[in-house]
Amino acid sequence: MTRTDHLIDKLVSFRQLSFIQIVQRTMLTLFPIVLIGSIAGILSAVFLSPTGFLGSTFHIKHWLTGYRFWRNIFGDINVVTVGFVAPYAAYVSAQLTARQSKGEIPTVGISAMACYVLIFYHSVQQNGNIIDMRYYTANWFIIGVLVGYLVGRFFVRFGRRIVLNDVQLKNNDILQSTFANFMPILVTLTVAFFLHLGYAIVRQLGIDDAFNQCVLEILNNHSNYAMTMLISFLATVLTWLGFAESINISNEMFRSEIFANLNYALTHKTNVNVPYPFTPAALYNGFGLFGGVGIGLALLIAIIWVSHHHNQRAVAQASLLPVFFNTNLPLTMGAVVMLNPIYLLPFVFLPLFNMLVASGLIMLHVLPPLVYPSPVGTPGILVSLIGTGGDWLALFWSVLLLIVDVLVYIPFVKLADRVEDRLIDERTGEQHAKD
Amino acid sequence: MQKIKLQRRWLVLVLLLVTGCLAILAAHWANQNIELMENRQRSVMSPVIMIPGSSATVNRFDSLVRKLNRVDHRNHSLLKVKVYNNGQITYSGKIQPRDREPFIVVGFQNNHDGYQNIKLQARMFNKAFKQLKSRYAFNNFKGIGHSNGGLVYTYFLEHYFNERQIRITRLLTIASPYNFAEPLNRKTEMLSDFEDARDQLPKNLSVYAVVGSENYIEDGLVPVSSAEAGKYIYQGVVKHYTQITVTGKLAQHSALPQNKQVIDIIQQYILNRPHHRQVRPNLSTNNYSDE
Repeated sequence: MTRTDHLIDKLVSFRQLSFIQIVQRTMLTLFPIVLIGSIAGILSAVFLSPTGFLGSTFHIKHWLTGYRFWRNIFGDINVVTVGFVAPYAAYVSAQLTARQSKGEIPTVGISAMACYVLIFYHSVQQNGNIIDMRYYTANWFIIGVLVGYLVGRFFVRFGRRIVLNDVQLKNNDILQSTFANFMPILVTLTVAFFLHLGYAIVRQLGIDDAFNQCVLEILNNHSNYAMTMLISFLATVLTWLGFAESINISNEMFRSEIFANLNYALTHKTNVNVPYPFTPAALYNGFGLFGGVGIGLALLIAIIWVSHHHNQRAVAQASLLPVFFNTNLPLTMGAVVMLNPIYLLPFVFLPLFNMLVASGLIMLHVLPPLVYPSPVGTPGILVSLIGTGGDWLALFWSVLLLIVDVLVYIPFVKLADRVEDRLIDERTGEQHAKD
Repeated sequence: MQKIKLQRRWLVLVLLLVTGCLAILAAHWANQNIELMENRQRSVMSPVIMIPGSSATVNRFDSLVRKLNRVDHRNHSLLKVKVYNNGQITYSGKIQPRDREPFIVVGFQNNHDGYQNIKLQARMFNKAFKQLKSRYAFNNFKGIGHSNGGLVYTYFLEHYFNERQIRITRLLTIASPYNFAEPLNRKTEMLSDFEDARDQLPKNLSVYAVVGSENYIEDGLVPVSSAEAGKYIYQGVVKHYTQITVTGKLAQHSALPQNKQVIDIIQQYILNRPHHRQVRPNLSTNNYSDE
């Protein structure tokens, strides 16, 4: 047995862990919703907004009257899809968990979703009754799956299954099963209630605000090189763990440095000797985000380039538009990137590699530093072009880095293919054994 | 395999084409944008943007500007901007070319009193400000708010003002009732909201609060304690907070904008000094202080 076979064995058995299976199937189930939501989000934020990339390059403000209306309308689609992924994930994962043990419990999904919403919903707040939506977004996807999984397991253990395939099923039977499952519904909701209570206390004491304040404090200070790398590392690792939209480096972070750079460049009319050439926003947004976190565009190209799996290719093709505009959620879900050990290494280290190379180039004065602001949703490979004020060499290096990234991803995609093959083999093997 | 090869070719073609086209557009936009930003950076215009109090119109500051022009002989222009409830914005008067310090008055069709209206007016002011910003390439401005105008300014600075290149250097509030007409032991919702959001205020701003007083208690309308409550919002957050009490003739609430002392204060503290070299504002200090 070669070492690769050994590795594939391990990867296959990891994929067959019950929770990992649930996570991955949930991702695949939610893929179409997330894809539609992401495309709507791009329409809304990138095209129909005057601060978006397409909106500003096409000067949307001047010729499309009523863009605000359409921006909000498409934004709504984005909110109810991507913005609600976490509770949806709870629903799906609970149902899948019940089905995993070859049963069907009609109330399990909705119970899990109710539990998830109950944990994070709160009307107790210091300032007014504004409901905080951040716990429902894709950012908390993995927590949603976890809640669904736990609720599902509990129902499998203590609930009663029915066979839903039976079309003849009478209302009476559904009612019966609902009553039979009353205990697990009550217990899970009670547990969720206590978590809700704990969280309410945290909010009441202002602990979460204090924490946010702390983080903001750090981000308002001066950055340094190690911190830039650490931010990139955290962003990719957290995304890989399933906090799907974890960290965005906006122009608000370390803004004093960004302003100082911009101020220098505008007064001196050159961006060569700016005071802070290596700001996190410049390096990470400029070179660590081709197609979103983890160089999603490189992964997408690599999949279309070498993958033999029809489904993987279909996912990659469908995700091309959002990924090009740096929204890689459809890809990380559809191509099963999150919690997939195969992709961990390139996903985390390629952005760091790109940033290292780029900062080397900036240090050697091959590239000017990125100081000018780029609009929302600027495709990753064009950020350096805009940030340097239209330096075509910057675009050249971005494309070159992207090609290197694709080459690095290719062996990992091949490995993923082989693991997939084996999984399919084993599944058909099982079926044969049954027959 | 044949299919994969075909798809590869398509992928490369599409990516190259799209990236190429968008790159040309992006480079064009970047150059345009940099030119705009450089123009703004070079600009020496530093307007005074004024907001009148409730029930007042855009003509509220006419006599103030006239009196100011009479004293400092600098012939500031006066531009009046009116924001209607339906979002329409109209202009009257104009800014003379080469006027470095024009006065701009922003008034609202909805000029009613009350916290809800102040929030609405702040939103309308933001709209007008955005339009002014794209019409005139200034990189810093000064603010004057009379009565509720000062409250609108405070709400605007806390909730809307977030500029990369434009800085508010000085703000004068004239008899602004930060706690409406309530005594300080009955704090209004507005004042506590202002206090909660004070961290959002620009750190490099100098604020002057004029308090009018006809007796020891009020200026005829606003309690002294309410006009002084600005300290709970600004003090300690902005660079300087100075409070000035004006008494004597024309110290009545509505007369304050015509008051001789107030005009002196505007000339001395708010307007740029003539014959002094204009100091370029430093962008790095926008909403943030290194000190």
